[in-house]
Amino acid sequence: MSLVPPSGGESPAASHRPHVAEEFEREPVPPRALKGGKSFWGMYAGEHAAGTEFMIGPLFLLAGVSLNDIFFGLLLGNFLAVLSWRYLCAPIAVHARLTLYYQLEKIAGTGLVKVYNLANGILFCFLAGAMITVSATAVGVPFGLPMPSFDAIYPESLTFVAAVLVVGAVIAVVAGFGYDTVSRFANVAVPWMVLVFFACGVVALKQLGVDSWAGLEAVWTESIDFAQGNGGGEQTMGFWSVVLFAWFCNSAMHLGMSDLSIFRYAKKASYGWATAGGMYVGHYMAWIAAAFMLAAQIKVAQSAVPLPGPMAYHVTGVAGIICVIIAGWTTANPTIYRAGLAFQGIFPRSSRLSMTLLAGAVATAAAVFPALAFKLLGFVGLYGTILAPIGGVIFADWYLARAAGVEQFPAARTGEKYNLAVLFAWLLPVGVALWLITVHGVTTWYFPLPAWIACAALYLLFRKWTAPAAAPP
Amino acid sequence: MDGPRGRTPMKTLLKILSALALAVVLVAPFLYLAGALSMAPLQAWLLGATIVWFVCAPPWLWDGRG
Repeated sequence: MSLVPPSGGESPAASHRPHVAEEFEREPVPPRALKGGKSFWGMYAGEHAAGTEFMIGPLFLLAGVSLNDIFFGLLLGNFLAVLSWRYLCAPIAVHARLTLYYQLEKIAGTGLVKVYNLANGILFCFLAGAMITVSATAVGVPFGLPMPSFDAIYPESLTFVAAVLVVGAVIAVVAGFGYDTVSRFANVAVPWMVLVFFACGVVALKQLGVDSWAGLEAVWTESIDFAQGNGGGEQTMGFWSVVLFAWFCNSAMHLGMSDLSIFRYAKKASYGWATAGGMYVGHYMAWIAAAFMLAAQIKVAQSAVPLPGPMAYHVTGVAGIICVIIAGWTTANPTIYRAGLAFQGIFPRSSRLSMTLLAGAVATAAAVFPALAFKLLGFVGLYGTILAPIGGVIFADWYLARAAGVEQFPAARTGEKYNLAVLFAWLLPVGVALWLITVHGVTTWYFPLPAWIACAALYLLFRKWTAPAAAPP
Repeated sequence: MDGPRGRTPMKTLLKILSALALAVVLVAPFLYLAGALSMAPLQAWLLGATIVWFVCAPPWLWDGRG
């Protein structure tokens, strides 16, 4: 899962997004600043090789996903995600050429953008927390630290907590002082990292000792049986659940329009296809490779605990540990940096450094709880459920507002700080989704699309009720 | 001494070594899969290639333009 957060209004480039989104925060990107298609392919391929990919693949196995479902469900789900970038996000981006934040500000008002910033910042902190946990599992391997068990919610050993605190402190301080250096380092690491992901999968396949699809299926099923009888997850995910997860795990970026900030630099909307590089490298190859690593660990070591550090060490040795640490670090770094920027957007008088360190502290505190990483599938769905619907407002404002008799960019025209139509259109579907998730236990990644559609429709409805009709086009 | 388009022999050498390091990371697992390499040498090759990559790639890849 690319948990590299989207590029925001005030924010500089994320790791792997080095020459993008550093300027034109409050104006359309001019033609001289547009980028070629090649840079988008490389950027997305690198961005989605994150430390959390090492967690997500194994979690599929623990959730009982069949071999066919993981191969074909991810194939379809990732394709739908690519289509969402290509046909929902990129076309608006190449016409408006504005950041998400500025475009949203013109619709929702400066005050409401701060509320969105707060939600973004808090969720970024938790995402970064999962990445810190992943890195800490790798740091712990050479020191022989006791690792958390799969059903652990609270920290189980002081030494692991210490490892998390050290890793989190280093990442937070570096994000505060040396963001650009880590960003450049990430660009260097990406080609190697992608190949190590691939190597992990190939080596694990050998350890599984199979020479046919039927053999692999048998070993896979045995691994699920072992995992679910030995502390693994009991939930089962079917084909469509895998499809929806793959489609919506980055929904904040495509449905939610965060990547407007990226594609505003694209010459053509067809550059949206470049996201396929990220989906099929990170969310297909890397997830499946990581799932194979857990299956191999189950076969060789009879352990179903999906700890990225030990899993990678067992197949690719020290290179695997380095890969897990770098993958976690280079993605946690921009996540914390952006969380800091989001908080700074709320408290403009604070320094960027203090807000980055605050975000790092929150992320590190969250990372102490291993459940955050072990429940990553659910959290990623929640992330999309909360943030993606706001993209429905942008879609409705761009394509449907005039036809519905609603003014486009209303806050920019009226100067209102809180467009209540946006606020309630966002809160209502998200509130219903959260109620269904928390009270009825419905799976989180079912909600981004319904909430997005409801948010778009409710926005037009509420705005039409509460505002004067737009002038005819 | 700058070559064509500002390339130096050293930079070219670093690019070749970097490419070789990536090739090792790509090929070694398949040699293991085919039974031509055992686990310990595989992991040693991967670590060696990792070191070569991180020594040779930054000088020409650091600015992101290669």
